[in-house]
Amino acid sequence: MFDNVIIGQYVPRNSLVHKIDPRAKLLAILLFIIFLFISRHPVVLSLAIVITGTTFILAKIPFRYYIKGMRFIAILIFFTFLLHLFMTREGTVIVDWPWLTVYSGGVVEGSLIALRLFLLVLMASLLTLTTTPIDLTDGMERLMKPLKRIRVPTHELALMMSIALRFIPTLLGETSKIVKAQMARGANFSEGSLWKRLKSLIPILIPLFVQSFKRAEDLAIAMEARGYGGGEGRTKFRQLRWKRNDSIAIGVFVMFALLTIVFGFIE
Amino acid sequence: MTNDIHVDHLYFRYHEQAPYVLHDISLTVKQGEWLTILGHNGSGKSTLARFFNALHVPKEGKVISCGIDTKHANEWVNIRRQVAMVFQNPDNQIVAPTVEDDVAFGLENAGIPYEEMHERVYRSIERLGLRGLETQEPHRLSGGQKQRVALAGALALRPKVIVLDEATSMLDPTGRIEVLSMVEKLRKEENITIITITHDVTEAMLADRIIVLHEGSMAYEGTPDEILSDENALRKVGLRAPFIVQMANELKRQQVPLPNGVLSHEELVTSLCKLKPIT
Repeated sequence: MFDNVIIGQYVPRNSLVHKIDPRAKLLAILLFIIFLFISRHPVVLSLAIVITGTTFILAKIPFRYYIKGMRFIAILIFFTFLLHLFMTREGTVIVDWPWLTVYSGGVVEGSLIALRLFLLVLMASLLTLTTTPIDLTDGMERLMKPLKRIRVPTHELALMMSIALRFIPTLLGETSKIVKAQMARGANFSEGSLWKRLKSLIPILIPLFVQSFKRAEDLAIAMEARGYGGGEGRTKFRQLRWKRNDSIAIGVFVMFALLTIVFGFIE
Repeated sequence: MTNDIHVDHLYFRYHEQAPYVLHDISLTVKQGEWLTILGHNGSGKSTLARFFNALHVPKEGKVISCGIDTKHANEWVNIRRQVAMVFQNPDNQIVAPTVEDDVAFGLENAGIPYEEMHERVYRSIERLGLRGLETQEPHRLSGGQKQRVALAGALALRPKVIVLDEATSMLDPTGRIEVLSMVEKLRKEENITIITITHDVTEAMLADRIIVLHEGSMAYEGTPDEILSDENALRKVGLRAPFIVQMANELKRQQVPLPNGVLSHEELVTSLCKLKPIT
């Protein structure tokens, strides 16, 4: 069921987007998200659509892979649209029923927010679909490096993340083993009131916690035996190489950001 | 012959009032030797193993690993690079999310430059027959493969000694053979000293020398021939002789003239075949 936790949603393809450095992807997405919500100029918005569309095509990932992650978000986008539709009281009245009035401003406002959210989710999905969580962790560690100066434990955070990624499947396997063991002893997880069902989780969680602590201790000893001594003086096996394409990608998004500012002044 | 590990009158207890877990242990491990420390559960054998790479440091007695006294805290990292360890539970010692990352973990800690690390990682992976699994995730590997990953991680550090702390006890028979044959190969080809900690008498047969630990003290010391064929001695320390030994001894009791020191299947069969013309 959770077999692909480490790969996450990652869909391996030989595409331009896949090959972009995770640092570049993270930075580009950050720029995109910030500036997408700053300007409402039509030129900026259509540019955002073009950028998202191009990235989508370059990534060579069929749309059905996006749908899985989007079902829930789609509902959210829809309700946000409705909320803006009914709450905005600007422009001319389009619908005027005794229990409902819709202004033209509401349609514009609602569509705008829906479009922005849709682009945002599409971009975020593109990031997770074209990058493995390991690479993402790696990229984040590098980007956060400057924060080390203000004593943010970036190396430790990244290590925690990578150990979590490594152990999630192991712990899930263990959980299903415990569930089966408890069922063999007559435990019932699927009947009774909500309270009863929640209570029946206790015999799963306690052994799981005990085991996890034991694992943690074993792992700590194993790490010590392998000479782990913190981030100081450590070299990295995973190397990230900044290539020309990465600069180009970042360049495109910086241009987008600049245009957003320019059109912001024109408005 | 130089000594890789030297233990001198080692005593150990967890705190002042506790009983001694290890009692007057003195032993020497020669370079290139395969030593097995045999004992049943709670005999203190795993505790003893942790002194070899300074995971425990003696308060009473002395442990010298690869020429360095383990009491110097600033040498611990150095010692652990030379005395590598493989633990019992394959799931709890793999740190990184893929095979190659995990093999590299020890090298990263040691601050090995990237080019050299890259070469050593793939060489180790190759040596342990893990080619094609480089980017595999640990939870998709079999128990034997996981322990081989742990061995590869140890080998990448180019250690003088590898300590296997019950490294095969959680594996199925195939995995056990897989791992032990790799260990044998490493000892032969890389001249690495091997110390195995085990309660499995069949595994102990592979060693050059066996030390039997019983309730924290050294009970016997000798070659596999001497130790494993002595059923009574083994029974005293809560162990059972290998099946072949039991059978050979039983045959001897039944007046079958077998030589002493029959340990393996093959030996038993050949000695029985030699009897043929007489009867």
